[in-house]
Amino acid sequence: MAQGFFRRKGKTAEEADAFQRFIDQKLRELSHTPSGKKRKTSSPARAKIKFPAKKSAKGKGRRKRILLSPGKATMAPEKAKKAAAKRITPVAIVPKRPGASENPYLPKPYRVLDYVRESPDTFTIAVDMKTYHDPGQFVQVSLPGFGESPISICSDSREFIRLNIREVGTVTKALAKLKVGDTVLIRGPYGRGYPMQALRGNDLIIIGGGCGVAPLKGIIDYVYNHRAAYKDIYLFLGYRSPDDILFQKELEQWKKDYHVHMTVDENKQQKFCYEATTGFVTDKLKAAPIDNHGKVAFVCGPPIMMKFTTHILKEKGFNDDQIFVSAERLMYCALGVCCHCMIRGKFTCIDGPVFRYDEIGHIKND
Amino acid sequence: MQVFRQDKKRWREFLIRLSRSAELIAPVKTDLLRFEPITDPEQIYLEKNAYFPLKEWFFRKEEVIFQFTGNKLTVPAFTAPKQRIFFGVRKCDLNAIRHQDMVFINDVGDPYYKAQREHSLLLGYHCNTAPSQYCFCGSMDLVDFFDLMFYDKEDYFLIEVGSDRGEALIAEHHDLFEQHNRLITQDEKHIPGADRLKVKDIAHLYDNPGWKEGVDKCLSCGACTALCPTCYCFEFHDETKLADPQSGERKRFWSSCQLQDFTRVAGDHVFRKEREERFKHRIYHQLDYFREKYGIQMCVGCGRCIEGCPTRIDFVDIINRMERPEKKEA
Amino acid sequence: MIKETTRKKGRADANPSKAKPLIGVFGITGCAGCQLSIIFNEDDILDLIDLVDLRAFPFIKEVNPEEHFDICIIEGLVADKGDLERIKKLRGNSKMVVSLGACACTGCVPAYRQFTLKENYEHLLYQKMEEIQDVKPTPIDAHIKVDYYIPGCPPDKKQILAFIKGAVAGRIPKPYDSPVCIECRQNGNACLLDVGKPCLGPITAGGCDAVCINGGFECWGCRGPTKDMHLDLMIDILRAKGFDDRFIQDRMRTFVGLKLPMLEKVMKKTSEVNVTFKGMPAQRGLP
Repeated sequence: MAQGFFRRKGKTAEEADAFQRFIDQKLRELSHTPSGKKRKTSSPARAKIKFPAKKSAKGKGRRKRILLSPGKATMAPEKAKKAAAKRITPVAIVPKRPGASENPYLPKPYRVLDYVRESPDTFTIAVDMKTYHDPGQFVQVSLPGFGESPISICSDSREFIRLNIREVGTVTKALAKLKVGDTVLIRGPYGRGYPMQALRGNDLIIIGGGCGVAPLKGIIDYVYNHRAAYKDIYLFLGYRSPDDILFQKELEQWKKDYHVHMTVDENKQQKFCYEATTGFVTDKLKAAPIDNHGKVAFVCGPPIMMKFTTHILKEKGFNDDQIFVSAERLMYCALGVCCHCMIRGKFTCIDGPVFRYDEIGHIKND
Repeated sequence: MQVFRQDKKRWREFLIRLSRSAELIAPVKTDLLRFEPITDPEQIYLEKNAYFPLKEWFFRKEEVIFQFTGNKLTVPAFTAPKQRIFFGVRKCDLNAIRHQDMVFINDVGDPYYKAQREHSLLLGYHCNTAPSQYCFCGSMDLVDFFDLMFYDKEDYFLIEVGSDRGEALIAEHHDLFEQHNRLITQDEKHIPGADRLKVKDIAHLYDNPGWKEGVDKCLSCGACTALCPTCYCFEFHDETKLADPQSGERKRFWSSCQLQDFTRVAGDHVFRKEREERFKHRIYHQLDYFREKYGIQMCVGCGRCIEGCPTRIDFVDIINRMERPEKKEA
Repeated sequence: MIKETTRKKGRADANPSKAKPLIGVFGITGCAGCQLSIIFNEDDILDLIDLVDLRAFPFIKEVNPEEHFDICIIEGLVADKGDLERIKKLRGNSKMVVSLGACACTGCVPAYRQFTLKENYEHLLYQKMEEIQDVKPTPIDAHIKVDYYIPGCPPDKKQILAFIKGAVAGRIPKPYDSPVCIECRQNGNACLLDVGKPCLGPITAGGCDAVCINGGFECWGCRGPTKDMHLDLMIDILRAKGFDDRFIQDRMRTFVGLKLPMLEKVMKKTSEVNVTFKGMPAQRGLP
C-alpha cells in the first residue's frame, strides 16, 4: 500500500484532462482549507490525495509541510520566497494497481512511431502509448526472448511517449534494431515522477549528465506545455564528447527559451558542439551565480556526478528538499515486489525513481 | 472461535479421510524434515519444525509467467490444483503465508501465486515448546491465521476453528469431532522459550559495529534467503526455444539479496557491493523495511536462516548483544 | 573477417536476412569430455546444426578447416608448444573465442603438475621431456584473449546450448556468478558441510543446478571461484571440520589451482610454484 500516491488508471486523454482539473482544484482546496475538513471524493476514478507521512530521518521530524500551489502568490513575498521549494512533498500520479482480473506482469503491444538516432550509442523512439504520466516516470519495455528494461519517459504528451535509450545491455542493444512500424511490448507507466504541480512558480534548475538528460527532458517538455507556471529555466547539461550530445534537434529551441549551459568532457577533434565548453558540468554549475531563492534543482546522471552536483548545490545554500535526484537500479517487476530496486526501505520502482534529496540523501553508497 | 475435541485415534481416521478426498501434505522425515504429500498419517513427524518452509508450494521457485511467439503472449492456464490440505504447519509458517499473501495477493494481485494459494487449507499444529533452539517467534508480530489449529494435549487434540472453510471441513467430518465447551486461552497459545529477540526496533543500530561479527562469518551463500519462509524476491528470465528463437517463455525464479548480482545494473555497477551491506539488507528488510510498507515485521521468527546457515550466524544474538553489550560475557 | 563467398548461396535458412554463424570446436590438451557434452545434447543437436554452420569439429567431422570462424570453442589447456601455436592461429581466425570446460577456463587437473616437482612425475612419461616441448600448463586465457567462459568439468550441456542459442540471436547469457549453494538449497538438499563433508559450494560459481550435491556428492569447485567468495572463511570452516591444510589445499587446487593465487597467501604456506596469474578475469560478454 504505497502511501501518498494518487491512485488512478491512466487511460484516455479526456479522462486525463478531467483528472488534471480535478487535481488542480484539489490542490487549491487543500492549500486554503484547514485539514480535517472532509474532502469530496467525486469524479475521476477514486483518486485520493494523501501526503506521505514521511518518516523523519534523525530528528527532522518537526517540520511542517507546505504545499506550493498557484495560491502561493498571496503569501508575503519573503515568506513565499522561503516557502518556495521548501518542504515540498513529491506527489505523483501512478496508475492504479491492476485489479484481480488483470495480470500485472503482462506488457501490452504498442507501435513504434518514430526512431531517431541521437548519438553513436543512444536513440529515441516514440511509441503510440496514450497515457497520462508525470515527467520522470518510467515504463517497462519488454522484448520477448531478451528481457525487460526500465526506461524513463522523456516526453510530455498524451498521444505518445518518447523513450531515450542507451545501448548498454542485452535488451537495449536489441531495442536499437527496432524500426518504425514495429511492435514493442510495454507496461507502465510506473513510479513517482517529478512533482511538477507542486513546484509551480519556481525557477527550475535542470542538471543532467550524459543519458541522465533523458528523464529531465520530460520536465523540459512539460515546462514547454505549461510555460506560464514556471519562471526561469536553467539547463546544465554535461556530455562526454560532442558526439554524445542528446536531443540536438530540440537544442536550438531550448536555447531560445531557457538559459542553457552545456559542457563536454573533452573535444579532441574540435567538433561543432553547440557552444558547449570543455570541462565538467559541475564546474559550470559552481561558477554560475545561482542562489537557492525560489529555485528547485533536478539532478540526474551518473552516481559520481550526482554526488558532486548535490554537494555544490548544498554549498550554494540549497536545502535538501529543494533538490530532486533520480535513482537507477536493477528492477524486474516495477511493482514493488521483486525487491531488487530497494534503497534501504525505499523501492525505486514505486517510491522513486525520483527522490527528494532528504529521502535518500543520508544513504552513503549511492 | 469454536473449539472442538478429537482423540488421537479419530485424528488418524480424519487424516486418512482427508488424504482420500484431497492431497494431504504434512512434514515427513526423510534425510531432513520436509513437507511432502502423504497417504498414511503414520508418516507424519511432528517433533520438530520442518527444515524447509511451506513457501515453495505457493510461491514456486520456477513459474512460467507467459509464453511468447514473436510479440504474441499467452499466459499459461491457471489449472486449479486439486484441493490441497496442509497439516502440521506451525504458527511461524502460517504467518509467513499471511505475509506473502499481503505482498502477492493484496498488493499486486499476482495471479500465479493466487492460483496456488486458492485451493489450499491450512491445518496448523501448535508448538507446545519451541521446537528449535533458534526459534524466536514470540518476539515477532504473529497473529492467529489458520483454517484449523490443532493443540496437542497428549492423548487428544483441541481444535480451534479459524475460518469458515475450516468450519466447513469439520462439519463435513462431524462424526469425528466433539464440541468442546472451553475456549483456547492465551496461556495455551503462548510458546515458551521462543522470545529470544529482545529488540523490537533495530533502525538505530544500522551503523553499529556489532554487525561485523556476523559479516565476518558470512559466506554470502544465500542459504538463509532460500530457507526463509517469507523471503519473496524474484527475477525474470526469458528462455527461447532452440528450434524457433522467436518463441519461448518468460520465467520467474527465486532470487537472493545476498548476491552481488542482485543489484548489478548494465555497465557492471553493483550497488550493494560490500558483504556487510548485503548481510544487513536482509535483516533490515525482515525487521524494519517491510514494516515501513506493510506495517508489520516480515520475519516470523522460525529460525531457519540460523539453523540452515553453514556457519550458524545467529543474528538474533548479535542484535541482542548490540543493545546490551554487558551481556557479552554471559 | 568472413568472406561471403565462402558460403553457399540459396541455402534454406530460417532467417534468410542473416547468415548462420560459423562455428568451430577444437580440443587441445584435455580429455575431450567437454566436446562430448556438446554431443550429449542428443535431442537438440539436429536443431543446433540447423541454427549454425558447424564448420569444424574434429571430434565428429572429417573435413575441418581452421579458419574463418565467428565463434571458436576451445577445450583443454595449453601444455606444449603445439597447443600454443594452435590457439594463437585459431584466435587470429575467429571473431570470438570461447573457453569450454574447466581446463580451458581454470587449468583443472592437467595443470596439477605445476604444484609438484618434475622428479615426481618424470619417470612416468612415455617420452623424454625434451622431446615433448612442454610449456607451463596454463589455461588458454593466459595466452590469448578469451571472450566467453563456459566453465565446469564437464560443462553443463544445457549451458553450452544456451550459449550457442544466445550467440546466434545476439543475447549471450550472463555468466553465472552465484554460489552453488543457491541452487543447492532451492533444490531442497541438506547442507553437506553439516554432515562433515568438505563441500566447496559456498565459494564455487554455480549454474550446474548443484548436480553433485543432488547426488549426495560434495562440490569440488569445478566451475571456478565466485568473484565474491569468502575464501578465508571457507578455509576456516574446513579447518574447523577437522580437515588439515594439506587436504584443503589439494582439494581447492584440483580444479581451480591456477586461478586461486590467493590460496597460498591465505594458507600462509610457501608454495612450490610461483603462480603468476591473476584471478578469474571479469567476464563482460562480447567485445
